[in-house]
Amino acid sequence: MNILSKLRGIFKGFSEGFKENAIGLIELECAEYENVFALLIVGGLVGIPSPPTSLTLRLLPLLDREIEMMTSGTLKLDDAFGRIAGYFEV
Amino acid sequence: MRIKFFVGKGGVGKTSVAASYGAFLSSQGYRTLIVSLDPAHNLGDILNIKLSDKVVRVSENLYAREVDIEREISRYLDRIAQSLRMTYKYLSVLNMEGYFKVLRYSPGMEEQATLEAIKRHIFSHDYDFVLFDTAPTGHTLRVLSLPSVSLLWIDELMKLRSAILDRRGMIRRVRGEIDKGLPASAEEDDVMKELGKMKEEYEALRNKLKGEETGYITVLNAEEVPLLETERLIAFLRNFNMKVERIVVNKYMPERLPKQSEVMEFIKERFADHEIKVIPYMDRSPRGINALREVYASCLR
Repeated sequence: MNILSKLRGIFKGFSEGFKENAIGLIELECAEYENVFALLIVGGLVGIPSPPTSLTLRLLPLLDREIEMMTSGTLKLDDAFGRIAGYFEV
Repeated sequence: MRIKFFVGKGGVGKTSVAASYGAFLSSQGYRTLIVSLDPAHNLGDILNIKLSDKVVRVSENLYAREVDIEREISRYLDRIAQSLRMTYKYLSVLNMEGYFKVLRYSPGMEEQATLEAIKRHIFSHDYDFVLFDTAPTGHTLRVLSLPSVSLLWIDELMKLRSAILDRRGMIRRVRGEIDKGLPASAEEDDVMKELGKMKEEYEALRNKLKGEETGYITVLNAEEVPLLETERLIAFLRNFNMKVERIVVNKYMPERLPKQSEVMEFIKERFADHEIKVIPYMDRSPRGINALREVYASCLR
């Protein structure tokens, strides 16, 4: 009984570890999608074709989080590969 | 309500043709509104009446308006600036909110304001006919394509937003929570709701612009350059499923300019599947309701 519960604990630990890894990747993916979303809306600022001005103006007030992620992402661009490698534990 | 757009190259006589339609339709008892969208207005000169940005009664059943694009941009921006001011309230502390005024010079703002002016009239049911005398081709095409172009962007942005919300949902399911108050479904997300609202608005507009009740009358002169432009214009309208109702060849004078008959033959051949009407060149441009009605009765009926 005692051994079984220990084994259960070990497997649970493995499962939590895998889950944490998978969620970490989904978080990274989600952050990058948010970054791209903001970039598409306000891309005009850096010369990327952007949607008609009316769309940008209507969405802009709702995008404070995405814009913050985009600007902080831009600051980390120097080490983008390092960041990705970190997630994959390379 | 029926809607007609008069389109074509600058200087071919779109305003005169639109005004002739207006004069005739109103004389038949149809409540008719002519809206000039051309920033270089001359609708008032042709109708022989002073017009303004407000709808003016010209004669029985006939009304007209010369859209003031600058004012239309201001109205549109006021609405947008209101929401920006609410979000960036703190800027008023620094007295910086006035900088939003620069938005009026954003690319595409004039086209959007023109579309707003069109929207205001095509969804009202105050008239039997609304006739739009448009600006020269390039500007008009950008305005007419704006709903479709916006819809392409909205669809792509909605797909991307769905991907973001899906992932947030996964994180929430596993972790039990994500960043405080962060929406993880379309029902909770203000961005998705705004995109959905815009999609509905632009779809209604696009459907109206290509609907059964809407027709496009292209006006040209029997000369090579207007003909080439008309070909491109008709191809564009077809591409967006907008119905070309008829082609009006204005200021036709083959006796003085024999080359025009050659171009006319080409017009007939090129646009064989369209109804073609011809208005001969007149030494004096038709002005006033009676003269305009006469033009319709003798050439456009």
